[in-house]
Amino acid sequence: MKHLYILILGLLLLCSACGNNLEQEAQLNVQQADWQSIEQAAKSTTVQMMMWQGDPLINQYMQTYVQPQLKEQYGITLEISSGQGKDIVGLALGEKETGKKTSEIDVIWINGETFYQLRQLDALYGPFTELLPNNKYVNWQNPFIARDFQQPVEGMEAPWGNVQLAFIYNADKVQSPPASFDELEKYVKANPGTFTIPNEFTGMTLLKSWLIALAGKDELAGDFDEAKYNKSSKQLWQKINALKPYFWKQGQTFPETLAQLHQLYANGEVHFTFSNNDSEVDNKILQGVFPESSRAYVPKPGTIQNSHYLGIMKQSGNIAGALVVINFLQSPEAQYRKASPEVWGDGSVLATEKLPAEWQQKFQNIPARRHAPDRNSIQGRAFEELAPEYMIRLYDDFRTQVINQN
Amino acid sequence: MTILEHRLSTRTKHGSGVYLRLLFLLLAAAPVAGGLLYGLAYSFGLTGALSSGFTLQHWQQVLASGVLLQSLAYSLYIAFAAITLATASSLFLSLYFQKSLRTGLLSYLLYLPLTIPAVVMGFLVFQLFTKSGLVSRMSYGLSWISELQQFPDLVHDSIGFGIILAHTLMAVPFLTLLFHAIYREQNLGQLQQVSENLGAGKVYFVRHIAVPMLLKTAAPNLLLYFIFILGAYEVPLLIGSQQHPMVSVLAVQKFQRFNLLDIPQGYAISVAFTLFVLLLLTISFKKLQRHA
Amino acid sequence: MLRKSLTAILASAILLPFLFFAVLSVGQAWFYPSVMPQRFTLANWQQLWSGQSELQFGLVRSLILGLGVAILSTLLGFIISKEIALAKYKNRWLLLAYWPFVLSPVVLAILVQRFFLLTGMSGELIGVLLGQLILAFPFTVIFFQSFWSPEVLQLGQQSQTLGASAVYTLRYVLLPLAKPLLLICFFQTFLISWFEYGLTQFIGLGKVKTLTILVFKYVNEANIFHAALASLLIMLPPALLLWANKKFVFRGI
Repeated sequence: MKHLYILILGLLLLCSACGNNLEQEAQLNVQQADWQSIEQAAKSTTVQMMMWQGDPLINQYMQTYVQPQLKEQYGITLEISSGQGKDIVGLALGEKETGKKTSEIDVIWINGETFYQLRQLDALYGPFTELLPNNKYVNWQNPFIARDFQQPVEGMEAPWGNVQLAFIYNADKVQSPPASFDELEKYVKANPGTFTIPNEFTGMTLLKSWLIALAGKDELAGDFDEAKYNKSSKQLWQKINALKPYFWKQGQTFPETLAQLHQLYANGEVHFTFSNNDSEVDNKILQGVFPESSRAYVPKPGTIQNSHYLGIMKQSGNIAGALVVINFLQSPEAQYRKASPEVWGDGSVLATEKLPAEWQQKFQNIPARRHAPDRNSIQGRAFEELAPEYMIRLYDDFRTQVINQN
Repeated sequence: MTILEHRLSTRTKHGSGVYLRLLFLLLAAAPVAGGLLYGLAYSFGLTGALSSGFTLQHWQQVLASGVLLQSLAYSLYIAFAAITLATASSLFLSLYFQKSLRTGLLSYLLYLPLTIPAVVMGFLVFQLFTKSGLVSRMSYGLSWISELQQFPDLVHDSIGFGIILAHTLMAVPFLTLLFHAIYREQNLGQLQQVSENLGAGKVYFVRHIAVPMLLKTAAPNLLLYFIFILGAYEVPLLIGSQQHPMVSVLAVQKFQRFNLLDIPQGYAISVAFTLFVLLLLTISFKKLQRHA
Repeated sequence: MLRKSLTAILASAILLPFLFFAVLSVGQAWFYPSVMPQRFTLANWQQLWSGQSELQFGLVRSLILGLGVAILSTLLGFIISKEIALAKYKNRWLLLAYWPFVLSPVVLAILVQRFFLLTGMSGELIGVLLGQLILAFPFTVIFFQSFWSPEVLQLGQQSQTLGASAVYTLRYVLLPLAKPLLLICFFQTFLISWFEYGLTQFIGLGKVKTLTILVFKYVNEANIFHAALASLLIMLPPALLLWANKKFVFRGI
């Protein structure tokens, strides 16, 4: 019996040790090193990445393209675990509170309020974008890329994709979709039970677009303003609560994930769904998930356009590996592949004119969008993201002001 | 008594008992006790990267807003409804299918649903009963409904139909087998013959002898099952209504929110629920012991 | 007649989940209002056998955890439950054993999450193993209480009085006596681990992808066909074991 006890105790010590011994390993000082030695240091290491895994196509892109390519080109094993912004922030906070020296995660997929909160926790490594060879192609001139929710990126996260919120509807069931947020109200009242707002990132981006539409395009720009927020959000909640009985399930519940809403839409339970990615409708039709009659558009006066980014955890045990992974994801090849509708349809963050000639040509010939709106035509209807506090408040208030109101 | 004393004396000689008890405490009691203490400290603002000293604010928020109490009341309602339905159905099944359960088809089949965990049951009930689910499709095929919107709201609904159903479905096979086992153990079959010989009817036997006896013997298990449903997580997460989160879902919601300042509330809810369950346990522990 | 039709209804209700998931796992494009999927494919199943697939790793991971938890908790429980059965304040000890047993695993996980982060065990298989052990071990202590009757204790005592060593007594007297109970306990603790989701997600940080975690992941990406396959993988092994020997569940109380 004693042996058993000692065995267990040993086991316990062992596992607490295996968590700690990694901490002592000296890392390459990547800020001083040249890119070659960074690649060298990254070779045959494992990089842990945490990302939202709510879309099968994105997961497939990672699994069938990114992971094998990283293995083949750089000898890096990329392990992916599922986690959204709130999970990443929660993890960072937990690691900070327990004084952990090496994070469980290296690369994270973030933007906006996650970026803001991680910076508040001082949980991000950087600046690092200047270290990446592919950074020279990035379209930093575009304010939708250089600023994330009104915050200058300052090299603390690397752009990965650029998208705009779009409405998706079934043209068989909706002959003339509401062309603006004002008309949306009339539409919902006239067609009860066929519209809802997902209670997650995309839904909040929709609410934010609505908020801007109510307040006026530049009214909410700049730092968070409590008074302005209260004024326009009050209007918004009034409108939504007035519409609530006409929502799907009389507004008594809202889809908790985007996939859930997509499924409701695919089965015809609701007639509208949304995507933070203006070209998603094409890839969903190609997959056979959405009906052929699906169309996407951007209502007047516009919706939010934003970028999503890749960051590195400050306590990452493999910064060199993380850099190589991010550099690869920003490479023309990876960006080009990602932009095709049948792969993912995510907007590129590279400035086409900066690319080598062969790539310029390829990017100009990305397979055309079929049912998604043309990128140039919606650029005039793009709102810049608001300060992150707006998003945090919308999450809270949507729950207290709408969901919990009977 | 002398045997016991003797045993105790040999035990001290060996001395390994102390280690074993220590290990027991380490694995069973320490996580709960330690977690409780940490949670208490966190919810009072005594620890945590964002805390600024002792405060009652988080508890006030949790209690004053009524979220916790509402959620607890809702959880109690769900658990009570599910356990009542499951007990009633299981009593019926175990008495009605007495023979089939002993040797027939059901003696095998009824074990199969025990292999369905909560995650899968939540997924299953959703796929069956959502507006576009299998049942709705069949109703459409049979022309009971002419379009999907006519199908009633059975999941993500306020009265918790989906959650109650899922938990009932999980409990029924278990409870039926339990009642059946008790039936045989207590020789209720023989008792029935005796009572029939004495002129009592079948209904009388079921109502006044079999059911009370089964319920009484199974009471500790029913209570434990009730507590399990009270803390249910996966099923309400998958098919619950957002207006009325069950306690576990609420705790996780507060714990994993964009607003980091909500985390102490997550701890407060976890601590409050833990204390509630431990209280329930302590009150009913004597009963549990009788039939561990 | 009534009894027969009721039996038939009950039997089909029991078999429905298995059939439904089996159909979905080979299905594609299941649009309303068709009852059956429009296309059928073996691709999902082939992926499972082709190696390197997420599901295959998940299956192996779940198996390792299940076996690990079952072996450790059954052994520990058997030995320690004797100690508790002999304790002076036996009931107080047992009350402690009920603590983690009745608590919602996910609430327990919230409370102990920082400890696992601190020791570097979160996100690791070993951390999840220990977490699940905290759930399963107290159960085994309670479970074996009925075994340590005064008669059994006395028997062990006699064997030692007659000069047998403690190891000998355990191996040739107590273990054979307890064998049926040990089997049940092993199976049940295996299931505790095999079915666990909440605590596994919290302590494993989503990195330790067991089958239940995968079901959830697929549900969240609205990939019902994969979710159905993963569900089947969870249900089939214990179902086969139970079919072979239903004595794993009940001991006739």
